[in-house]
Amino acid sequence: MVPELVRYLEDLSLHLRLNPLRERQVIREMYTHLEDRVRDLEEAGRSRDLAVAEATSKFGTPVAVAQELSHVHSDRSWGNALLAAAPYAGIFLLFALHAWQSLPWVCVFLSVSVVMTLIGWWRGKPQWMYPWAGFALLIPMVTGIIAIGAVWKDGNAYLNGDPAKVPGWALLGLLIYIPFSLWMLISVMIKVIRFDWLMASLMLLPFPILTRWMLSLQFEGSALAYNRTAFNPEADLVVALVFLVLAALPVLFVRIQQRPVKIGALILVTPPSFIVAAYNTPGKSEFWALALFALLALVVLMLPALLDRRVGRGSSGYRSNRARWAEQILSDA
Amino acid sequence: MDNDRELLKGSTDSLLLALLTEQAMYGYQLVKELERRSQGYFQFREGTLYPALHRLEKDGLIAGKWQPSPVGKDRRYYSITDAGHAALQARLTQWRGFSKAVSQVLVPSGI
Repeated sequence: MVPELVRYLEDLSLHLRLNPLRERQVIREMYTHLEDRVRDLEEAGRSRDLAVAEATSKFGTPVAVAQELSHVHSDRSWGNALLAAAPYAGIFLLFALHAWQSLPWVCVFLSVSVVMTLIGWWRGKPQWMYPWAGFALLIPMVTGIIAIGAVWKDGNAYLNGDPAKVPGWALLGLLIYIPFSLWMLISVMIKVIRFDWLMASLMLLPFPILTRWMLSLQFEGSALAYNRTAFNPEADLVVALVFLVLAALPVLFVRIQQRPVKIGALILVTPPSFIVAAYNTPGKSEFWALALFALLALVVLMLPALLDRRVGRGSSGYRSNRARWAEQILSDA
Repeated sequence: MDNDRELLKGSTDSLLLALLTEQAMYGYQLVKELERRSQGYFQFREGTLYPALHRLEKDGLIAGKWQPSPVGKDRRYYSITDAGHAALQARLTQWRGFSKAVSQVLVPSGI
C-alpha cells in the first residue's frame, strides 16, 4: 500500500456522492491506478514523494474527478425526476380532494411513502428516494405531535385530579414515545446530511407546511378530533396547489447537477410558497406572523447546511472516519 | 494544445472502444497503451478516464470485472460487449466519412 495516496483518495471520497458499495469499488479502482503510476515513476528514478505528487497531479483535482464520477453514476432521467415528484402529486390529491381529513387515505399515503423509501434505500439511495423519505418521516413527526398533545392535556388532567381520557400506563408509553420519535427523526437526518445536506433539505421540504397544519389541528381540538368547520375547503385547494408548485423542486434536484442552482431554487421558491400555505391554514395570519413563519421555515430547510459542519462531510469526526475507511479499503486492495 | 484536448475529449469513447477490441484492459493499462500508440500525442488527465469508462459501462458498451493482473493484484478489467462492437463500427464509419470530407476541404487539390 502507498499510504501517501490515502489523503488524496480521502479528499476524493468526500466529494463523491454514490451509494456505499459503488463508492468502495470506485475508490479501490482509483487507488490501483495511482499505485501503478507511482510504482512506474519510482522505477523511473523519482523519490516516493515526487512520484506521489506527479501521479496525483496527472490524475486531476479530487473535486473535479469526484464530480465527474458522481455525474456519471447519478440517474438524471425524467422517469426518476417524476418518481421524485410523485409524493407531491400524492399530497396534492390528498388536499385537493379533501382526503387529508380521512385517516385511511392518510395512512395509505404514508404507507406508500414508507415502502418507496425502503425500496429506494435497498436500491442504493437514488435521488428520487429523498422526497419519499421526507413524507415517511412525517410519521414520527405527526405521531410525536399527537403524543405531545395527549400528554399535555391528559397530564394536566391527572395533575389536577380530573378524569383523563388516556390511562396512566398509556400516558407513560406516550412520554417514552416522544423522545423516541425525535431520536428517529434526528438519526435519519444525520445519516442523510452525511451523504448530502442538500438532500436532507429536500427531505424537510414538506415539514414546515404540514407541521403548521398539524399544530392548527391540535389547536382546533386534536389531530384526530378537530373542529372541521374551522377548515375552509377552498383553502385545501390552495395548499394543494402550493404542493404542486413545490413538486418542481424534486424534479429540479434530479435533473440539474449544479448545486448553486438547487440552493437558489430552494431559497427562491420556498418562502412565498410557505406564506401562501400558512395564510390558508387556520390560525393567525397577520403579515408579520406569516413572514416570521416563512423565515423560520427557511431556517429549518437550511439547518442541514449548518449541521453539515458539525455532523456531515465538513466535520472533523467524519473526516477522520473517512480516513480510516479509505485506509481499510486500500489495505484490502 | 486546447484544440487537441477538445478533439481528444470528443474521441475518447471511440479510442477506448477501439483499444478494448483487442483485449480486456484495466484503466492504467489503457492510458499507457493510448500514450504508446499515439507516441505520446494523447495524454489524458488520467482521472477523466474513469468517468468515461464508467459511462461506457453504464451504456452497456463495455463490461468491467475485477480479476488478478499479471503482477498478482486485482485490477478492474474492461472488455467490449457486442453492443460496444456495433457502436464502434458505427463511429468508425462516421469518422471515415468525416475525415475524408475534412481532408478534401483542407488539402488543396493537385497537391
